[in-house]
Amino acid sequence: MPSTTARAGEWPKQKIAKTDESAVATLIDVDACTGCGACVTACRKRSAALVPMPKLPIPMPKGTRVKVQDWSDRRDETDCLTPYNWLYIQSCTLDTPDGSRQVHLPRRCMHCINPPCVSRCATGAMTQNQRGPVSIDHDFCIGEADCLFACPWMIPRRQSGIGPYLRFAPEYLGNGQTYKCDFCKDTVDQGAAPLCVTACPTGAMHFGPYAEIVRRAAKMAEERDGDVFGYAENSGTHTLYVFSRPFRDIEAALLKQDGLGPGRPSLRPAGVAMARQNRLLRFVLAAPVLGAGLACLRVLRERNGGRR
Amino acid sequence: MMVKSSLFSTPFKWLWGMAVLCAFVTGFLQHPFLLVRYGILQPVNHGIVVAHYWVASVLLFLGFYALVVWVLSGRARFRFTRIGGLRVWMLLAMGVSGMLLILNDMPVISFYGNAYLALKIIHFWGGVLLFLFSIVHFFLRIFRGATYLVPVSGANGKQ
Repeated sequence: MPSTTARAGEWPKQKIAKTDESAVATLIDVDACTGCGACVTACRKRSAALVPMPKLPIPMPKGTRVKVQDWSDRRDETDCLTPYNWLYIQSCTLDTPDGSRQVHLPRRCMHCINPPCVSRCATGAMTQNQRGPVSIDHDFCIGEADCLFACPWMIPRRQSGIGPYLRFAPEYLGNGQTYKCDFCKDTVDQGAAPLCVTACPTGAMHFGPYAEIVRRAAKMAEERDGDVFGYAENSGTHTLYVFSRPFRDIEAALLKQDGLGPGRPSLRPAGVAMARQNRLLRFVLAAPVLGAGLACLRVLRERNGGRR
Repeated sequence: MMVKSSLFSTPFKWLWGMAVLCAFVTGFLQHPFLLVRYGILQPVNHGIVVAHYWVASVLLFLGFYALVVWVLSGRARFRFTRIGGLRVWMLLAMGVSGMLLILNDMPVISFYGNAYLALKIIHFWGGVLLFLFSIVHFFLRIFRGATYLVPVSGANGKQ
């Protein structure tokens, strides 16, 4: 599969989805990240208040192989994404010509410009704000986790025993709720940066208007002969990473060092998650025009027949 | 001149009926809280979505065909019964919300926040209501002979 990451000077030609003028983005400078975890601490302070404890005992799904997913006794876990931990530091040791070096990437939701999780969410719980944040309305989420499977990086995480499904048929419907980074949408709506960005002591995280962040990422990558991740992935995201080496090297190191798995998203080049559907969309939109055209022909023929 | 007592042919009605049925099936199959749970659908497979898009294109084709035929030639000869009018409004809501959802899936257009949520709710609950409505109409048709269209009194098509 060809890489969709953007090496300096070779920005991918694939179409990037259109953003709103007010859209914002974050840029994470992997070279500057020390993995101190200040962003994780800041994120957890906020998310702790947003994720309730499950109702115990959690109802066991009946007649199915679906399993209860309970992270409530592992709320302190910070080495992967969980319903209670929306941001984690993905670390690996990278072999470079100058010797091995430790690399740290703060990982969370990429906030895609055209998010497949929003399209696939059957209940409409997943929505996107015009500035970019993709968030879950937990009044509607019943934990069917379609967002998890639609996401190219499988970012959302599910906690069973929470949410409106408990009021209906908890043993036969739903399985909790999914949680993920919401880009601190209330803070971002007020024009401020997300908490992870403001908490970063090394200045590895930058926040600003989408167009400005893209320009900045391109410039930084060019200066370092580096790589950008997130610009073209899944036709564009609101989270960009820049690094002085190719991201595929980090991906390879993570694979070798067992750094990938549930809650530990990959850095593989993600194409457009819903490309197959997107190819059909124009055809679907052309169908009513064809139908109307055929109807006009029928009516004209009827009228001409009547005159004769 | 004797005008046809029905605005649309039998093959059209069959095709429409089959397409609506397929749209219901592929639409509701997309709700994996039941279908993934019981192993009927693999969540990674988006084949059901693709099938729903194909059926949607058939329905939009037939629906717009019917709409234009109605506007240009049917109005003078037929009128909607109450149940027929209600069905048209429901189909319009489903069609318009479905097309807007399709537009949102395209990379160039997006609906945000509550506007998007409203579209999803209208499309989903419109489908549920239309399904219930079809069942009610089926029985009304059997027991009371209820139809969607009746010929206008005094028009050529009057029976």
